Amino acid sequence: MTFDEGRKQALLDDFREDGPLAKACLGAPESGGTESVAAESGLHVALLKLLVALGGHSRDPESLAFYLDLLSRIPAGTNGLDLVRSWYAAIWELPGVGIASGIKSTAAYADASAVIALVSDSRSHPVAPQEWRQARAALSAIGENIAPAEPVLAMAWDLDRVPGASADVFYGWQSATTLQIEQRLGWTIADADRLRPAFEEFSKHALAVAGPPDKDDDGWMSRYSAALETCWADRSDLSGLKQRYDAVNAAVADDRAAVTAAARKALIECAKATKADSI
Amino acid sequence: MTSIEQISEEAFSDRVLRSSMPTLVDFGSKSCGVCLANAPAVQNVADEYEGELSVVKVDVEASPGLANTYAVRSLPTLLMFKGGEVVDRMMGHLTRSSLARFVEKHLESGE
Repeated sequence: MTFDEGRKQALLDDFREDGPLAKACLGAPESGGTESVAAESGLHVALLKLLVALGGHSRDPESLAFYLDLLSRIPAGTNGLDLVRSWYAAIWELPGVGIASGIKSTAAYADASAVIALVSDSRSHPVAPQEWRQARAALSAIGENIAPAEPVLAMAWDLDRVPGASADVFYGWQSATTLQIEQRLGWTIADADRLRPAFEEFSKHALAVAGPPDKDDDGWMSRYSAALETCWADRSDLSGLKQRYDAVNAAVADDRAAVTAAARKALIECAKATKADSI
Repeated sequence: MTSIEQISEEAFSDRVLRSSMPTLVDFGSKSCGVCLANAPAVQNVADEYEGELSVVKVDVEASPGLANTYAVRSLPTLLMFKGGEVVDRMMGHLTRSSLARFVEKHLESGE
């Protein structure tokens, strides 16, 4: 099946109209929807899984605009696999939020660079499963507690055999930035453990006040949030910790938004540079 | 694609405890969302290490005795068995890479 001009336009129209292909793609990852859309469209599963991961599996206007922008730029005649590999290289090198910048000063840099070299090789010839495995094992051994190693580990899979790894790279990148922020702001597992009982208790109370979640009840979230606020206000002993938690969350949200924006932009730029005869 | 068999309490002894190769047992249930989300990664790892690792799954609702025997308190829980004994466990959401790292520690080539 080839991603020809007809299938390309059909896929774009389907996403615009929330058709069956879009629904299949944006459904639960374990539902096999992307596999069926790949079979129908000619696009590689790895690209489709990355597309929906970057869109947050959402149909909100911003995500939809991204899906349509990317899909419109993929030349007919390609299947998008090389696009994913070129995206790996692009996000490695990005200034600022790029993965290399977080790993360069660590002991994992050489082994991470070896994975990137294999990704580059894979663009011109097949890489044997054993080579991927050895590269993964080497980086695992040295990078276990090095947050930026996680997305690179996710790159060390043959995308034809393990197409879901493409989404893992993005999720690993997001997780890595979360961990780095927590480390920078001194937020620890012990801090989270101290707050957890309060979260669980307050959530139960707020549900009792607000009632069961109801997407048709416009006031539900306000009632729920107000009940939570009341609980927190009564616990001045936790206020300092809660303020730190809120600050970490805000920083993580900002950083994740920056990573998502950078990831989307990089994929769009790679798509623009993709030639019609590359596979 | 390697088939990941769901095994019963009756078959557990033969398929896991007497297995000649390391066996990863994925304890989950149909109502566990994280178990479902993990499924593609578990499948990929089963395929990747076919011949070196056996992978089976246990539905804790169908086999509560096994969950109790092996102290499975939250789902998903993955137990690594070697020589009839639990040698390691992993819980919660996992990625292909984290599961591969977990598995490789226990394969012959990693000893």
